[in-house]
Amino acid sequence: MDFWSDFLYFFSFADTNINNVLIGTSVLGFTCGIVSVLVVLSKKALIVDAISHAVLPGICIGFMFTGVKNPIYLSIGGMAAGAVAVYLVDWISRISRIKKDASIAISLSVLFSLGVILLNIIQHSGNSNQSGLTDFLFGKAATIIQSDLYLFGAVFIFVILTLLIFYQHLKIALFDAGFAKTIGLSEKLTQGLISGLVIISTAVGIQTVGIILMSALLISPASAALFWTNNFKKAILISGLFATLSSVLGVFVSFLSADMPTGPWIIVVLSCFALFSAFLSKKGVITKKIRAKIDASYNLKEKEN
Amino acid sequence: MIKKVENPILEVRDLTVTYDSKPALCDANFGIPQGSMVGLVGPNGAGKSTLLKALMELIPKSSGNVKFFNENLESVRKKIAYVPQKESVDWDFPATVFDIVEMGRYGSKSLFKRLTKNDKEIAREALTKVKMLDFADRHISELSGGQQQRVFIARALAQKADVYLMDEPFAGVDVASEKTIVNVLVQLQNEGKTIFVVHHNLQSAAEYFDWMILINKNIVASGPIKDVFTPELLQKTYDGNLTTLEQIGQTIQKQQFPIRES
Amino acid sequence: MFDFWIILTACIIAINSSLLGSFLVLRKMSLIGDALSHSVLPGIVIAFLISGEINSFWMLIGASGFGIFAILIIDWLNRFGGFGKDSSIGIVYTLLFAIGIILITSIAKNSDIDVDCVLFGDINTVPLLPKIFTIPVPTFNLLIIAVIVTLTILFGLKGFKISTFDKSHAQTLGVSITFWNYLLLGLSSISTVFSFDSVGAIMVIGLIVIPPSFANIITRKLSRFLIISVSFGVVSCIIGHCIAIYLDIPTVPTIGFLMGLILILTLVFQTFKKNFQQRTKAKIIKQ
Repeated sequence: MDFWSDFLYFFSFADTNINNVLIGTSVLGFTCGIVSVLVVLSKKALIVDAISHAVLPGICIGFMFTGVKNPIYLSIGGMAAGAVAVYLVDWISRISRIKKDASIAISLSVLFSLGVILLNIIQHSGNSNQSGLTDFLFGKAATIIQSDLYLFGAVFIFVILTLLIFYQHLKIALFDAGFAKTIGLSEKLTQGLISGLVIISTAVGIQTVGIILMSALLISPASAALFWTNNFKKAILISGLFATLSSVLGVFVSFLSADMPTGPWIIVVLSCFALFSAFLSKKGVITKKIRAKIDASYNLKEKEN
Repeated sequence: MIKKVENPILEVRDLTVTYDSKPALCDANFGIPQGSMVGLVGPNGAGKSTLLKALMELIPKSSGNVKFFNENLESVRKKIAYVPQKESVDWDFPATVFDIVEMGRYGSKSLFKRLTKNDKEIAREALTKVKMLDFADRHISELSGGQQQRVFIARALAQKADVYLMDEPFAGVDVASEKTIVNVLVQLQNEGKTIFVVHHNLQSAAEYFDWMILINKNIVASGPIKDVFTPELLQKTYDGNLTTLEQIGQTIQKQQFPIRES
Repeated sequence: MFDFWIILTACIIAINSSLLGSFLVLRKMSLIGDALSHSVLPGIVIAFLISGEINSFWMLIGASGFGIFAILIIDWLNRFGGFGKDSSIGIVYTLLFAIGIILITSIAKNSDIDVDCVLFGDINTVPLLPKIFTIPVPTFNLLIIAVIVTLTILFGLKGFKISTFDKSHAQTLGVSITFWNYLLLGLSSISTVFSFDSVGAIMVIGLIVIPPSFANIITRKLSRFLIISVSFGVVSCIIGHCIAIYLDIPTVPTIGFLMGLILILTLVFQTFKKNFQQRTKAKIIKQ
């Protein structure tokens, strides 16, 4: 059968191109899965959206300065722009009566507009290197090559190291903010750490799922994982696994059919995990209902006896 | 101790409210006589606001029923005014003091009609009563907590109701505003209206109210203040909470209740 | 005439979005606007697949059902599914948007809808489209929507006002919160769907949020708030298009950037003014 031969070929890991894409998306997926736990627990879910959209002008500026599509320069530009977005959201809601939700939406559309304008200027500049910049909008997993993997690996190690060094700090700050305050943990450090990790993982993560859908990669994995456990360490692992698994499946689907885009499929699979967890995990809606029914019938029997 | 009331203006039977399958209020049964000033008192998390919201059908009740004037809320809505906690709204909303008080004249049917001169006059009167007429054109974010509360009371007054339900009208309010509000409430009572207030300060409770309901998930007591404001019942309401108990002891010593027999 | 139609289309979209956006912003539902603008995509693609054209009025009305559908799921997940409010928004709109993109690249790949104009639309093609009464079809449709939106806001002003400021008070007066909420969301969804093809998803959020936010820092009276919001949107569209032509850059993101720039500069100016006033006050006190 066609499907099975494709399946076997894909998972035999014989094709180096496919392997590069798989390793790349998996590493990025795992990285984002980890950061996702911090995002969801600190209730920053929607700032992520502003950050990921803001990355576009950063990438464009990175390209305009260097003239080449080196992922390191582009990522640095993206990170700088992400930091601008975080600052802008905070600044607008601090100095005026504009509420946080509105300031997120404002920063998002302003910076993204700027990005599209710059993108247009670059496209008309005649620089032949520019083709492919638009791929950042919806991801370009299929074009991941070996040299990209070093950057992804470096980011992965950086995120893991940061997490290990500040593990206790983050754990306390995220699970009991009140207690963290009383023992003198810096609130600024917590926020800075989380924003920093989000910015870094976003700047590289957009290579797989793209700018528009990036926020899902930083929201859904942890939303799903937190249905299965309350343990911080386990949540990080499960969240990372969900994201990795979705990335692999997303890549597989787009391998099966040339028409199928990788990024959107990763997100669809990931969302299914999240919804599935919401319904069927220990804490899920359906599970709760079934358990309530069993309890009720059990009580009834006891009464009869 | 729950005192039975003949012809109550508000009657609650077997009212239970649950949040996330945890009971916030259990089996409340009580009645309120017409023209009384009722204080609803209990510790934090005792379900005071919950009871008020359930009476106004702002949150669903799990069981039981509530009658105003021996009828369902829907048919007597116009006769009842509700003052929510002032923290429940966004005071940055673009509106002046007068805009807010005017909203007291809105009704479900008159939403599409223009307000008449009479409506505006009523709104102005209400503002005068709470001594806020000078602030009519001010934006609501420029007010102090006490002034904001007075605006809310004025909005309720503009509704020209017979029963007033108020959620913590004295919380975070300066002394001058508290005095003004108390005067307004007394005036309302003199006009024969019934007032039902969620209150957290035991010291002033005995002074302000003539009828009291003690609540801690259950209704502990309901009746005239001299029967309800007793050490035993208060202890039962604030079970185990030492600081509050001390406070109660002091209050009762100081005030030698009942101080307000009408 | 060519530029006239572009500016007119942009302005009508600005009027619709900033009127509805005013109440979304005041209700702290800006991000619901964000969610709406992305979630309607699969609806639009399906409507296109069924009718074979992008601007069929009734198909687009149907497509706006997807917006309401998304809101209902977000609400449900938040209330019963155990997700935080932000997370449920983030999960639902990305999922629906991803499905929309998949539909475009796989099933509808030979059509006029393409992935790039999903984000910023294709307002420059509006004047070239077929016309009704000499008005291009999307502009004509938008005009109808504008009339509906404006009339609803005018006649329902009290309802929107009271249900936005104090829900519980409105409810105790017997005003149906659900009705006004879904009236607002329904109109927003319809307006988003009809604007989508011309200005795209991101710009819809910009037009929903930035003009009301500008009004918010300028005025404190609701009637003025609405007027300033609408005029800000309209003026930005006109100037934005002129700048775009002059610099030869795309119109829609230029409008978005211009609006944001004006807002941010105003904020900077206000802050400077406040600091300056405080300093002079301090000086006077010293003397």
